Amino acid sequence: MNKPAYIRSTSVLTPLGLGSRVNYDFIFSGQSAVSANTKFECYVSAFDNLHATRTSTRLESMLCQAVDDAAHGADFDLTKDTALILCTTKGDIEDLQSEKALLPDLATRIAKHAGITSTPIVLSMACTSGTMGLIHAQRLISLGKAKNVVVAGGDQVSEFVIEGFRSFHALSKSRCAPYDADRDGINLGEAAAVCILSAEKGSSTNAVVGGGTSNDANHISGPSRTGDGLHLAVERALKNAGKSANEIDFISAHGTATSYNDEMESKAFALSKLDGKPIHSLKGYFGHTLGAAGLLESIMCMESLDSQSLPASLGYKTEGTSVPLQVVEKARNQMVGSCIKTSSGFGGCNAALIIEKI
Amino acid sequence: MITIQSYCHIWPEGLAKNNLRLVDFSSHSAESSGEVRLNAVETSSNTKPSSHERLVQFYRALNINYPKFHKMDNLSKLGFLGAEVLFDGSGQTDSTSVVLSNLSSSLESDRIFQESLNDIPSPAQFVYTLPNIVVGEICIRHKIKGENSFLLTSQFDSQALIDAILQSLIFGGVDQCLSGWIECINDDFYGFLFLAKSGEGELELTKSVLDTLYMRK
Amino acid sequence: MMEELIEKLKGQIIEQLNLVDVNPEEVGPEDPLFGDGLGLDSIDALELIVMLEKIYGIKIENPEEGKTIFMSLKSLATYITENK
Repeated sequence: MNKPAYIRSTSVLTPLGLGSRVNYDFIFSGQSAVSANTKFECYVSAFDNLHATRTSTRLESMLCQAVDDAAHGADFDLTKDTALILCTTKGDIEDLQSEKALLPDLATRIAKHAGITSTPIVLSMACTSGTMGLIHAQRLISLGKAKNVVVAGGDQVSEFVIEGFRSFHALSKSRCAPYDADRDGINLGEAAAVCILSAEKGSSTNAVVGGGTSNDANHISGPSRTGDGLHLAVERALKNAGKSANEIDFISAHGTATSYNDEMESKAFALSKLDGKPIHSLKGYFGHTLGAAGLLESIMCMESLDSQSLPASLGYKTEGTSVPLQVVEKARNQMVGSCIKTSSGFGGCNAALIIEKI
Repeated sequence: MITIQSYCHIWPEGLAKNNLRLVDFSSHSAESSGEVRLNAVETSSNTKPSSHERLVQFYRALNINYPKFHKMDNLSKLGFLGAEVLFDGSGQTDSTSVVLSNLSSSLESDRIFQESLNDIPSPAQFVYTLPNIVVGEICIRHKIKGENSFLLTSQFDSQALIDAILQSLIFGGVDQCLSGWIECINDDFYGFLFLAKSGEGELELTKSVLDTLYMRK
Repeated sequence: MMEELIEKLKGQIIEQLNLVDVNPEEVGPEDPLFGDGLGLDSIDALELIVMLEKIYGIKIENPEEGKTIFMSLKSLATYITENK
């Protein structure tokens, strides 16, 4: 029943620039989009000069740029047999008080822009949304429900989200340091990311081969102390992909740099016997981009597979989890054939995705 | 084959399971209609209760004892009540996934949190500014560690739900899925939840069956 | 004075944390608020920090401090009296 979903084209738009390879080259060289922001009184990764236009909202503009770039790189007609999945947590958050705030409408506008005629859906599962979008797409393709799927993810930096995380005392005082002993919280970020998947291989070099999700069934905001929820998601992903932990070459984890999240992940990876694998979090480069995170970071994994290299886990200096992890401290060339992308989020949700070089 | 084992509807005037009213807030009384209505509640006030008040009334009428209920936002209360009625204390949630949907996400709670930005923002309010929190609340209550998802669609989309339910059963390795539509906005609410199960049964999970059931209450 | 503050705090906590079905008479001044006592959790602890700032003007920067401050009504009342 499980079939690979071939990656035909991708793009990401972050404050570092437009394009998957452009962004990967920046992060491989150690460049971060995170900086001190006086307006929000914390460190964020945010666009300097990006505004809504007369005809599109700010997020719509971000998503359309990424869609256009990805569509340009796709070697087939997107307007036929194509589904659209939008992954976002807060969408057009500046329009909350108006009717424009309805997320399915945003998805409809993006579909229209891309020339996709089928009815889109929005997946809104907190910080796992992006990863889940890819899982959902791969399963639609496996079940023959869609031939091609455009997965688009995006979220913005906003006072709403910043103050929310501030009320949780979860914001870092500087640039975040995932897995580090002195980590003190998250940086928020904004981005748009697009991945075009297909049942047909075309000239693709990577494929999504399986995924899994789970719920901690423990607490709506605090990560589980045992890591067994994320472990379950990982096991389901491995099973669906027909792979063992041994065959995974690296982990692109959630790594938000809160004390509890990173600790939980270390336990989960130990349970899944993945703790010996090279691991990174990309939150130090892009910040935590919420609904876009899982998608953006998966696309960076695809670039790793294409370039046979691993970026550093920015911010890491000393071991900071009870289970020691093989955190990638320096960007390096590495022979890699497959990886696992994991995400966890509010609501106790976890998602894991396996991407393979083909 | 996937079948619908049971379903429930929740709206301001009542709560029904498999089309049988469990709680009734409609204006005519049980005596005059000649029907016996379990937990018929006479509301003396003429003003329409808020969604919050009504959802608490359902909680009380169903004799549920779960103090955390009162911390939930309306969307979570609504989903929680539906799950409570469908799982019915049966403990049969080992092999279960959850796929819920709506149009407005957590917009009602989002607007409340946004108002609070003028004062001191509340973490308890912030946590409910995501539509999937209701899934978390249900999973905590019924100890469900299975696959879970929340879809947003322009209207009740039976095909999108069926696709997601099928995915969770096949790839999630479970027998049953709690699914449905829970919408809570502008001081109104509507919940249609159902338990879909692998195997034979009377009510097959198809687009037309779901669309018909969704409308019926 | 302390007793009055404790009674006042009881009501404020019940309201702030939506402890709708809790009988105030059943909460003793030295009963544990977290864990087995009232069963409060990590979000409740953060809400108490908000309550402290809103009503008493006391700001707690580090949530870890909350563990000792919010141990019981008495410890909370003591903290407020000492820091107002």
